[in-house]
Amino acid sequence: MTSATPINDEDLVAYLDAALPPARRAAVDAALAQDPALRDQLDGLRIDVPAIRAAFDAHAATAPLDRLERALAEVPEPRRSRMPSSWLAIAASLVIGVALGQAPSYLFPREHAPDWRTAVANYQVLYTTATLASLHQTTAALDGNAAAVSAALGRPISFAALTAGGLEFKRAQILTFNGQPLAQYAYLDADGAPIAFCATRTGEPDRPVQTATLRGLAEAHWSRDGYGFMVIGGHDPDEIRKLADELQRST
Amino acid sequence: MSDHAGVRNGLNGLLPRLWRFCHVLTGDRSTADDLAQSACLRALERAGQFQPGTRLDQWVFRIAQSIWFNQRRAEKVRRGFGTVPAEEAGLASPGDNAEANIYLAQVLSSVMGLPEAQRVTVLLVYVEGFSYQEAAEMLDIPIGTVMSRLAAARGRLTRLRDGGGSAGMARSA
Repeated sequence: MTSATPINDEDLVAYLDAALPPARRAAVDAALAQDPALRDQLDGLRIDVPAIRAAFDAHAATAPLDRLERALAEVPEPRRSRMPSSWLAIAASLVIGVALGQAPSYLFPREHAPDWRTAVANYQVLYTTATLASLHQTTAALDGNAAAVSAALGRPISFAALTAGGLEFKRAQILTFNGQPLAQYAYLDADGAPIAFCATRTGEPDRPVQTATLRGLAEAHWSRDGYGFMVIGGHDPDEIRKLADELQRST
Repeated sequence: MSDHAGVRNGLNGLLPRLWRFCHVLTGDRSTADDLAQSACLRALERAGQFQPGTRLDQWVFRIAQSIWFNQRRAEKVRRGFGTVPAEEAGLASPGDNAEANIYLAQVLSSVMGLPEAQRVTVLLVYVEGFSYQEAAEMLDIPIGTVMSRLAAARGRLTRLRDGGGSAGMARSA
């Protein structure tokens, strides 16, 4: 084998699916030409994709369409059509801007919008146990992952601090809100509920931990050093409060 | 057109695929009926959150998946986690004895016999035609996990084929 990167099953799957970048594909071709064992490995992954598609297309035709269409037709129209939430947010910022005698914030984006927490909550409700349960990173990988996210956020948050709450730490990632990096640290609690610890620069004065319910989820938030922090997930306000207190102390 | 009417129209056209996705997810026909209905209802309730210009199928599949996971967690139902015996999966038997139909029924049965995570990934990539990246986003898993699930599924289907028996599958790509 002359190829620098060993060729694994995932490469071979992407090869069969014509999903490899050209350079990698050429490397696999070259390796296949000289390695009979790799050719056997490739043969061990060949399946009849068109047959699978045909089988499942035939299967979709057995869906109980009458019943489903009837059920769909029975769902009533809402009394008034709801405005998309982005419109509501713009409308709300207009009202606030006018009331305070300032330009609306969408004209001059500031460092923070008042509802980054709502954006996080909207995201968090989509999380299920399964979203995170399949993630298995080593401690070293998680440590590196968290360090990269904290660096992008611009505020150091140590791995020890992140794991001080006793929850199973699953993943760190950088999202953005209004152009600002937003760090999201994802956990599963003992009952398997997805919990997120998030932070972003808000420029707000320091504030102690306060609790709320957002999108039906328990939430706690505080500010320090110009950063806003929040913990959200599950339905146990005491658990979230306790975790928020712990994180506020350790970060 | 209101959000609600737009989503309702789109859903009507999606029903066969949505039901199929629900069946692959749950492994059971009648559970799939219920799940597809719940997903439609939830999608209509949240029609205002759908971003026009994005794909309705991805959005609705994610809704169905989220309902299924929450429901299964609440009920501590374990069966969907593993493989579903073909007879329990309520698969339709071929309407006649034509060889092609028997073969397709075997193919369907062997894919439905895969563990849930693998069969859902196979459906999204090989049947629905989503890219690895799109499937990763819909399942909320890293792209590498999509590829390793496909590799595991392919290996398993090939072993079935090579082992012969009723679940055999011809080679192709």
